[in-house]
Amino acid sequence: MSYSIVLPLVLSLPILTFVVLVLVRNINHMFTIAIASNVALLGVSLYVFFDVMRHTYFNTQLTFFYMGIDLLPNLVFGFTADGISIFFVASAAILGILSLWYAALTMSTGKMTYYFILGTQFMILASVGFVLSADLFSFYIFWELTIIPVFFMIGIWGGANRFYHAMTLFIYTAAGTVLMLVGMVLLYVIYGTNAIPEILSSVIGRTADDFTGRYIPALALMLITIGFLVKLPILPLHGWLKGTYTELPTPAVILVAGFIGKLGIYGLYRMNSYMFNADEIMSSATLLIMVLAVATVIYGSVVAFAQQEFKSLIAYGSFAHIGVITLGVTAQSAVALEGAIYQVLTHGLAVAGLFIIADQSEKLTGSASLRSARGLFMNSPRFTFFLVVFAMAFLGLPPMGTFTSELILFIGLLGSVNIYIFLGALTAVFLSAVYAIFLVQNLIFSQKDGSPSWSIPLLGSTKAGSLPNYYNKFDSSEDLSFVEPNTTDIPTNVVILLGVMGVSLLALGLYPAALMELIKVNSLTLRSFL
Amino acid sequence: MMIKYAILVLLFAPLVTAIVNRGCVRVSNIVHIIAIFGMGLSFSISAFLFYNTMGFAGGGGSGGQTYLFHYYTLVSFADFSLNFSVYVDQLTTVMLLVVTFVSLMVHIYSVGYMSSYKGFARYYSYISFFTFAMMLLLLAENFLVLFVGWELVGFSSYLLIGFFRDRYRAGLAASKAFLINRFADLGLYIAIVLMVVLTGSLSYSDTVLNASALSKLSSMPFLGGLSYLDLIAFLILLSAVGKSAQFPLHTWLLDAMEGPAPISALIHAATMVTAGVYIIARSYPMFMLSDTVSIVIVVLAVVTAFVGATSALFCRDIKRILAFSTMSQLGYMFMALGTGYYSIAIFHLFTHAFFKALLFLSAGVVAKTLHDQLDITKMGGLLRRMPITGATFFIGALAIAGIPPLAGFFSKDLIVVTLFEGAPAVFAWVSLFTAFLTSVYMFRLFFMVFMGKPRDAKLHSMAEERSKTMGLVLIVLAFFSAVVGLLGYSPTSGFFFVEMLQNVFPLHHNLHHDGGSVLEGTGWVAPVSIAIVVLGGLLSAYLYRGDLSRVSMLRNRFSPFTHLFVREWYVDTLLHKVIVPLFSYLSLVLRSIDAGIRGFSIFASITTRFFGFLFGSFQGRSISTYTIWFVLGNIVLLFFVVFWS
Repeated sequence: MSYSIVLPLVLSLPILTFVVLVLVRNINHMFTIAIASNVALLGVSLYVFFDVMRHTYFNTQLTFFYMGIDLLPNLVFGFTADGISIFFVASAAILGILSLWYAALTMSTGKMTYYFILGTQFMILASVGFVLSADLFSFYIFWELTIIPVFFMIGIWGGANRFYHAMTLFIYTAAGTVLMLVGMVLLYVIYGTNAIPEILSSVIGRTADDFTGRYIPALALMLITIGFLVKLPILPLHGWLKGTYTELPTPAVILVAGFIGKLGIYGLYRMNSYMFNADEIMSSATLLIMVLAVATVIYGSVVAFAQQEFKSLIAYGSFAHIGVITLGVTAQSAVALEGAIYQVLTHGLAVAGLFIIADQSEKLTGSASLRSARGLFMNSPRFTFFLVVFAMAFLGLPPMGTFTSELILFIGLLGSVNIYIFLGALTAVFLSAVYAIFLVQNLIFSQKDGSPSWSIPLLGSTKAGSLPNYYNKFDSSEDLSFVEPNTTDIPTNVVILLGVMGVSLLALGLYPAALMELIKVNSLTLRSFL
Repeated sequence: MMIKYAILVLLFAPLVTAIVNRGCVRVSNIVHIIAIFGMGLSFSISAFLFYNTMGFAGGGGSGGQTYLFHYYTLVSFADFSLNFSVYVDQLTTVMLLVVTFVSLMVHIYSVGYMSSYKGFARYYSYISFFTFAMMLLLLAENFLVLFVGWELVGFSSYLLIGFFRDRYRAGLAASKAFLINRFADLGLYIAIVLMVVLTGSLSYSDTVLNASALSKLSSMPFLGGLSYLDLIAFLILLSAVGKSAQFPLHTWLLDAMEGPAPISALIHAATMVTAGVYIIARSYPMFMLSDTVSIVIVVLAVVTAFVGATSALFCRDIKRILAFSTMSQLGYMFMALGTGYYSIAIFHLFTHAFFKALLFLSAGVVAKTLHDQLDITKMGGLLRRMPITGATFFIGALAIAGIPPLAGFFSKDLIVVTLFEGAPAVFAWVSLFTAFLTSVYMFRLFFMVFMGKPRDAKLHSMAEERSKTMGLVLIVLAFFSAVVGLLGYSPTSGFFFVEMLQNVFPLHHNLHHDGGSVLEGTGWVAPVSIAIVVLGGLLSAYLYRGDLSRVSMLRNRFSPFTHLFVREWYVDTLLHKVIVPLFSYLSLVLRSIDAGIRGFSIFASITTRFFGFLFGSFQGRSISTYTIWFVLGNIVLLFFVVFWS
């Protein structure tokens, strides 16, 4: 397959699907079309990977696709793909398939579901575009686009405080994106081009001694990085996390928590990973990010333990793991980077599985709280089984994929970061077990009369109802309902989905070489900078 | 070539039966048949491997064979690669034999024991899965596969301790076991990462056998005077301390008795807890070259043995007493590891597996017939109604106390002797005192449960020998407990078992050094220890045979000590009253801070509204006000234009 067809194909597939979905209004076919297109996207991206790999095996330099449409003299509109981009496209496709699959199982066939599918497809479209862009302009546009469907989904399907949480998400992301825009404009003004590779090499190679020449580019890059850090999120920019993850409908959470959150990782890789050691300004900024990432790990795990609701616990646990992944991306090590990128997929699968379990738990017990959902083993053996499997996958039990990716990450991390940062990040291995085991224990084992010695006293309630309700005038008369399952145990079709996810996690852990080759293709260029 | 696939069958047969029993089979009739068949297959293959590696085919003694098979590479990088490979030598096959044999016995025993509980199929799938994980650990050729087996063993222990899901305490105990083990596993994790970074490989041949190269690497300043080798050895020790319930990470083992008795026999006596001993034995060159860490091992081991024995003295729960005794005996194994006599540690592991499994399984029979009553102050005189159980328990007690010619005597005696030789004498005397205490509490257990008058008539009437299979397993194990110790003794050189492992541990460090056996001059230890142990038995007969009045008098006389022992040295109290609440309150504090951070957007909205109100206050006024602002604004603009150009 010639290179000139590859990028347009991968890029246009989600766009075409979206257009088709807008035109076709038959709900029965929508799921089929959407899932089929994502499967096709996955297939195409994997085909591209094999093609890329076969060619770079014989080339000493990394092949670099570039498709430019010149709009203004120095304003190009370009796309590129390398191993990691294609890996992200594949992950987007995989998580999109899972999200749509679960939506097909649990959402009723109504008009709102149609909009939901459109929203999901839009998210995939925007993510693929983001991951493949090579110029600041399209980079920014696609970055903005990924959040828009999430905002609407919270507002439509959320709970009592959906507007508060939707606006919180919007304020945080908008603040970050505005800073990003400032940074991008600065870079464009200084270097006169908006093509990312050229900008990056100019920043690395800058030799100017005056203030503008030395510090402004670094400042611009840091502003852009802040935009990524808001999305990841990193302490202390995580205020939107809990509200978003608890208010979104579960099929959307699968895609958002499993993938959209990791787009910041891609941004860090694309914009920053070539220059962490460029000069002392950049390395001190990088050190700050690393310290924040370690703080995220410890803070997220400890707060996760204190949560009263299943979904918030998973949200904070995911938050803690993203800290580990961020550390892997910002460390100056090719191996750590590869482990971190691989963890994007494995962690996405594990967190998606756990959110599905959370949703099923909510259906089985009628409540999202951990306090009221004990003794579930009695009538729900299948639920119990998958809860344990995914909780163990989440905490990184071998031979699941999360363990393998984390191990590779830490191996790369040891030599390249401060030993205290390494040890701080390593606490993730133990602390993630604390809240995961706490979760399983609370849900499975029967309640004892009297207070058990492991529980924490409840000091006040953090229920959403205590926040002010300004905006609850919106009431949709459309059908927002979710299909009621068999209420004693999780239905067989969900079991199949969870089984597929569990087996893929196992396969990813037992044979990482398959997808690692895809990621490693990239590291040739990276190593020359490290 | 056949062996390569035979090893795969050995390893995966229990996994296959576990998956089958978990998913497909619901009928209790065939679940145990499938499981026992798979286990029997594994046992026969391990016996075959044992035969091959010991070189019996070639005429005994040295001349056995070792196997190394590489199955596939998980992923390979420029500097290192992760592989799934298997290494089989004499140490591996000895351990495999123990594990598969005890597991097979437990599989058979459980037919009778678990028949009245729900979840029969789930139980069998869990113990088969556990055996798979344990064999994976033992067969590993590199630390990665070892770690995978290590964690999976911890995970199946979690599943099995928490087997009775309708009991809240079982859930607590399972979580505690998993978390303490996970904490200790941080050590192994860091050690693995360190080894990859330092040597570029995880396989034993590049790391363990290359230990002298490691010790010469200059190390990081914050380690003080220690080398990387000391660090790695210490980290491996940390994980072994957690897995083998050494002081101070031993509390999980005691609560692990919430699980059914057969799994206490399998996991927490014979196999999983011995994984710590195995890992140190496997990495022995590192420990040989690291004196600091070896000293730490000896100190910890002696403390463990002592704490375990003293805590068992006043304990009332039959299984908990046995758990303490396991902890104590593991301490003995670690003593041998610390002084450098690794094959003796493995020998004690070997003998201990038999008699501890025996003790747990007979305690299980007692518990089951008495409807899960575990308090020994309510039992008594059960020997008449349960002769087989009582007799086999007595044999087990003799073995653990160390009375020749039963198993425990030979192995424990060797350990005490090597302690006199290789460590300061105080440790050896403490270990001898601990042996005395072992005898006291074991016979206390025997006398209070099986002898004397029954303390609860109703309970007593429930006791009977219920199941033939359980009794048969007990008899088999009693036989081996009696006989297996003789493996330590051989007419020609004196230590047959040690010779079996001579290819693994070089002979110069096994009882022969500087021209002559290490046992010269320590022949006095054996009669002394026998005397001590017999004295202990007689003392406990005196104290515990009849009513307990003499005991309470002694207790009051030594009351500060007995208080300490009853409270089990306050370690569990420290965990539950200090560490866990600290963590809980920290999490609450951070949660409140988090609520503050999340409220930041309220702050944003408040400021926006404020400024909106401020600027919006210019609207909605009358025309005259607008005109005034208009004129004023123009004047200001004029000023700027005039004075800034």
